[in-house]
Amino acid sequence: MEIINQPDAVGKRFYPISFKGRGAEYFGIAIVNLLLTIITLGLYYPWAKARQLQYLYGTTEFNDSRFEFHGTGAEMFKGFIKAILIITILYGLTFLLVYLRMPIIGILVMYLGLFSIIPLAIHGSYKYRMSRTSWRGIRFGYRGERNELYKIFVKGILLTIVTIGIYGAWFSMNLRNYILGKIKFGNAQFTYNGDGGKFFWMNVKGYFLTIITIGIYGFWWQKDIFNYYIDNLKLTHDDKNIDFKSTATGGDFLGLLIVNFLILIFTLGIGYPWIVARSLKFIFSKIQITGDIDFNNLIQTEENYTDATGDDMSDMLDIGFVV
Amino acid sequence: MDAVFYNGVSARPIDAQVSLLDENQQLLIEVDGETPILVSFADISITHSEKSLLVLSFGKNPNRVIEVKDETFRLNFLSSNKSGKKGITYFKLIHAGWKVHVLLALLIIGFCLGTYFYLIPFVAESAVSILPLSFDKKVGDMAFEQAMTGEEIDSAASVTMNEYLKKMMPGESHKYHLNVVKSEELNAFALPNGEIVIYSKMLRHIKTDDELSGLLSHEISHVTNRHSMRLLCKSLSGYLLLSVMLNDVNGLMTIILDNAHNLQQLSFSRHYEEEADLSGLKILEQYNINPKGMIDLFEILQKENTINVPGFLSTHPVTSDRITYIKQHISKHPYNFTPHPELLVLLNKGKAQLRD
Repeated sequence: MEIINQPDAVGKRFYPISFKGRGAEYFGIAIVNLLLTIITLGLYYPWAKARQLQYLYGTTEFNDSRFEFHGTGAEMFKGFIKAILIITILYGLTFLLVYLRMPIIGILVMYLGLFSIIPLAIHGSYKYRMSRTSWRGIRFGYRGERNELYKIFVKGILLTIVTIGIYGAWFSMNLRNYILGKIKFGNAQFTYNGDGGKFFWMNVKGYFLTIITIGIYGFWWQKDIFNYYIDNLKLTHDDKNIDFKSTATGGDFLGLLIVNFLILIFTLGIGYPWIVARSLKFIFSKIQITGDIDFNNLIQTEENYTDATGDDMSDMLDIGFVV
Repeated sequence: MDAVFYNGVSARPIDAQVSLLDENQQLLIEVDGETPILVSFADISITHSEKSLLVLSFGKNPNRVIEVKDETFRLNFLSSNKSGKKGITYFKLIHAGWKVHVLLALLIIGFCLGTYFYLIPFVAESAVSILPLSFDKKVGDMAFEQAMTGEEIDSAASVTMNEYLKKMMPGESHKYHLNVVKSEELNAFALPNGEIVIYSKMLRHIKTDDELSGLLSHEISHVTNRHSMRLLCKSLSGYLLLSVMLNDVNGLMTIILDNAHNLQQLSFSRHYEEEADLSGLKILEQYNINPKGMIDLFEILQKENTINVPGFLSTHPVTSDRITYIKQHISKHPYNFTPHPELLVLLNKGKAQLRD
């Protein structure tokens, strides 16, 4: 079993990661789910989502073992109902205030409400997703504090507004450093070491070069962002580490995104499952993992957490899972 | 069967032997030097299933995982598992093959198209009943203003025609208002606020009062059946669906008002025309008017219309079709009618008043 990551001459091991899913299989799942969702007037949606995640996790292989997603439709359905209630109450309150001829207060309430829901949704979403994800039976976990996340959010949003958006780069990195730094993989710990300044100048460069090259540099900009997200990630177990490194190039992204676009256009959107499959295949094939952790020594440490409200809320507000 | 077992405490792989106890609906897991584990199928979740790989898990805490890399075992497990609730049917559907999936995709596409082209318009059309009648007037007023820009109303003839309407249907004439407009088009139309427009050429071609009564009863029926409103709702069904779902009648009205100026460009479907013909005949019966006037009216139209499109191509029922079903209706519903000399006088007076 451990032949695949024997240490090399300097004691470094390579850990393979790949996506084994196929567009045609994912298409089958998407179609069956869509059919069931239509027949049940949308009620099947949480189960469909669970099935889809189960497939995507189950076809992602790290070190010769697949990831496992344990979330169930029932859990997500409960979360789905709660999330709908929360969002309905918020909108209801806004409409009530507008109806009572207090539109400014109404809109203020809506923005404040959404603003306070977002950290809640992110927090809940990570707690749920991580706890439901495992590898060889060892669960991931998110140990972030809700109040800490709120602090980062309030500071980040206020400073971003004051600086007309410039602070956004620091805000984004602070969030990433905090959230990813609170993720556990059994008794191993993730860390992310992003720097707001570097991230900011990278984006400034990307923005202007993209404009100058009438969009062509956009693929290289995309690559820079992707690489920045991957290269600063690290996993630590006792005194041992593994490092993540992206080998993606701008040309790779150009090929990926243009073909994705063509598939989407020429299949009128029906080819979407193929886009998901080939994008995941691409992403995992471009991540190189090296280090000296022996994954056989990984121990179960994280609790079960089955409240999917935050996850469903993120879904409804369309907040991407990885911040 | 060889398998790899993870005990939910450590990530270290443990070599194990698994066997299916079909009759008891159980899975037996044996690890060297440990007591064998028996799990019932109903407690097992299929975490992943693909060709030559089956990943199963059971138990909440610890959550144990068993990995079997054998196709025969996987198929046996799926076929012998009768617990049903762990998604066996679902996996069968997923593995039904691409032909079934393509068929399902086509089914869904067909369903979406059907919903878009039939169901939503149908719902929107029915939604008209929730709009108050006062709203028809508002829409009609806007459309009338639009339609009359640049048109010349023959006021003397119009006054006479309104007198005609008053005599023709004494009870209800106040809801409608006739306008004679100078035009070389053989046409007439009605708007939801009760404004009826007759082009001068049309009036010239009408010979008897029964023909004019037939025309008016047809146009009035478009108004009473709210055809314009239904058509507007149908053509705006996409937006309307949303407002109806949100129970937002005000939003619905705004959209319709915004589009009222299009009213004249919309042509009624054959179904609406037929409905207006038949309810027009009922009006004629109510006021003891000879229904043959309507047939004569269509014969005039038929003579003028040189192009004859086959029925299934045209949105209007071809005039000869209309004549046929009106004749059928008359023979099935005979009634007594009387001549109306006072109407003929007014018709001739109005025609004489027409300016060139």
